[in-house]
Amino acid sequence: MKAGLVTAGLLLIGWEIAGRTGETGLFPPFSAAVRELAEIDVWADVLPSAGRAIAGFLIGSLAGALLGVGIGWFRALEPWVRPSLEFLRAIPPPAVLPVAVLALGATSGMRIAVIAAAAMWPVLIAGVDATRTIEPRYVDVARISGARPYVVILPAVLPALLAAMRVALGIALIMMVISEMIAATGGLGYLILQAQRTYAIGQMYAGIIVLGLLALTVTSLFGLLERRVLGWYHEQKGRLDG
Amino acid sequence: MAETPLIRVAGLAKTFTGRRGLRTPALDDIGFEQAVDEFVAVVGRSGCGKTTLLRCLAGLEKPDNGLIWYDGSPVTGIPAGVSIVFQDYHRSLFPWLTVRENVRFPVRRLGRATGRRLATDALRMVELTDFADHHPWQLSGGMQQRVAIARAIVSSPRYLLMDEPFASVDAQTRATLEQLTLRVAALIGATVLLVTHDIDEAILMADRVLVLSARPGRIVEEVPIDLPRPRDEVETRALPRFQDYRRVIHRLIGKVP
Repeated sequence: MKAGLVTAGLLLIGWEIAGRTGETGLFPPFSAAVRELAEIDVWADVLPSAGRAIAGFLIGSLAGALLGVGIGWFRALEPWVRPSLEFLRAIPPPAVLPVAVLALGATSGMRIAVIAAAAMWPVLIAGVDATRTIEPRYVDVARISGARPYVVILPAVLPALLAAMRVALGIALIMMVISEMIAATGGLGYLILQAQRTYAIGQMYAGIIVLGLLALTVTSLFGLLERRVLGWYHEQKGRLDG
Repeated sequence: MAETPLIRVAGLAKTFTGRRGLRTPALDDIGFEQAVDEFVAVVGRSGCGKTTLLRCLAGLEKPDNGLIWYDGSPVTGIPAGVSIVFQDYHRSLFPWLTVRENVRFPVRRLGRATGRRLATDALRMVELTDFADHHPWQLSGGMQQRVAIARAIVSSPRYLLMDEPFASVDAQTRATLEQLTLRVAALIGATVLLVTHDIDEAILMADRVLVLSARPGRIVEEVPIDLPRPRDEVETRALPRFQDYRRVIHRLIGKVP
C-alpha cells in the first residue's frame, strides 16, 4: 500500500514537471487539472452518469444471470441458441449505439439500455458455463431431499457470476463514457468531449480524473460486496491453495 | 415370504446412450428382494453398474426395463422415506452452508426450529455436535462423511442407500464409520443397502451380499452371511468362516453368469 502510494506520487510529480515544461499548451500540469476539478458539478455531471452506469450494470447482470443459468440448465436449448449468442456477443457493443439512438432516441433510457446490453454478455456466458458444469451430486442431493434444483444451483454458480460481474462492471463504465459522447447533452463523457472541443484542456483532464475516481469507487464497493457474499468461497479457496 | 419386502426388483435393465448413439449397457436383468431391517450389500468391480442400481432404487435414474416395488408399490419418482449417502463427501456436501445447515437441508420445509432440532439430534448421533457451526471443508474426510451420514438420517428414512460411503477415508476411520453406521441405522430403524467394492466391508456389515458381474451388471449370486453380531472387526476377520466367504465372493466376482 505504502509503496504503491510512493509510485503514484512519483507519477504525479512527473506529470506536474512535464506539464510545466511543455510548451504546446495541450498538456497542463497536474495542479491545473486539479484546480479545474472544482468546476465539475457532481450533481449535474457525475451522479447522472454513475446512476446510468450502475442501473445498466445491474439490469444487464440480472438479465445475463437469468438467461445464462436458464440456458445452462436446459441443455437442450443450447444447440438452438449457441450460434446466435456467439454472433451477438462478438459484436463490439459501441457499434449498436447509432441503432439505439434511432430506435430509442437520445434519452437516458437509451444509454442505460446500451450499457445493460454490453454488460450482460460476460455474466450470460459465465452463467451458461458454470451451470453446465455444476457438480451433479448437488442436484442429486436436492432431488432426493425434495428441493427444487435452483436452491442449490444459485449458490453453486454465484462465485462464477460475481467474477463475471466484475468484468461487466468495467464494460458498463466504458459504455457509459462512449454513450455520453454520442448525441448527448450531459454526463462525464459529454463533459470530456466538450472540454476537448472548446480547448478547455484543464477541464478535459479533470473529467478524466473524476472518471478514474468513479471507476475506482464502484469497483472497490463491488469488491467489498463480493467478499461479504462469498466469504465461504474465498476462505475455502485460501485453505485449498495454501 | 409372508411379509411384504421393503424392496422388490424384477428384470431391471439400464443402458446409457452416449454421444453419437454409443450404447453402454450398465445393468441387465437384475432381480432381488430386501426385507425390512435386512442389511444388504452389493459388491462388484468398479464400473459394473453398482451405482446405477442404487440410483434406480432411489428414483434418480429411470430403468429401461423391469420394475422396482418399494413398500409394495411401483417406484415412479423419488419415493418418500428414501435417503442416500453419496461416495464423495467433498462433492455432495454444500460448501456454502455450515455443517448444521447442510444436515438441515432435507428437512428445511419443516420450519427453522424443527429443522434445527432434528439436525442437532442427527449430529449428536454421529458425534459431531461440537462442529455444527463449522463449514464442511474445515473438517477432516472422516468427519465430513459423518456429516453426510447425519444429513442422510435427519429425515428418519426407512431405506438408507449408501454408495461406497467409506471409499475415500483411511482404514481406521473406515472401521469406526462402519460401526457408527450399523448403530445409527438400528437407532432410527432404517433398512440399509450398501454398495461397495470392498468384499471385507460387505461381509462385516451385511446379512446378505449380492455379487454383481462385470458390465453389464448381473447378479451372479446371493451370499447370505451367517456370522454372529455384533461383529468386532478384528475378531470376525480371524474367523475361518469369514475367510471362506471372502474366497467365495472373490471367485464369484470374476465369474461370468
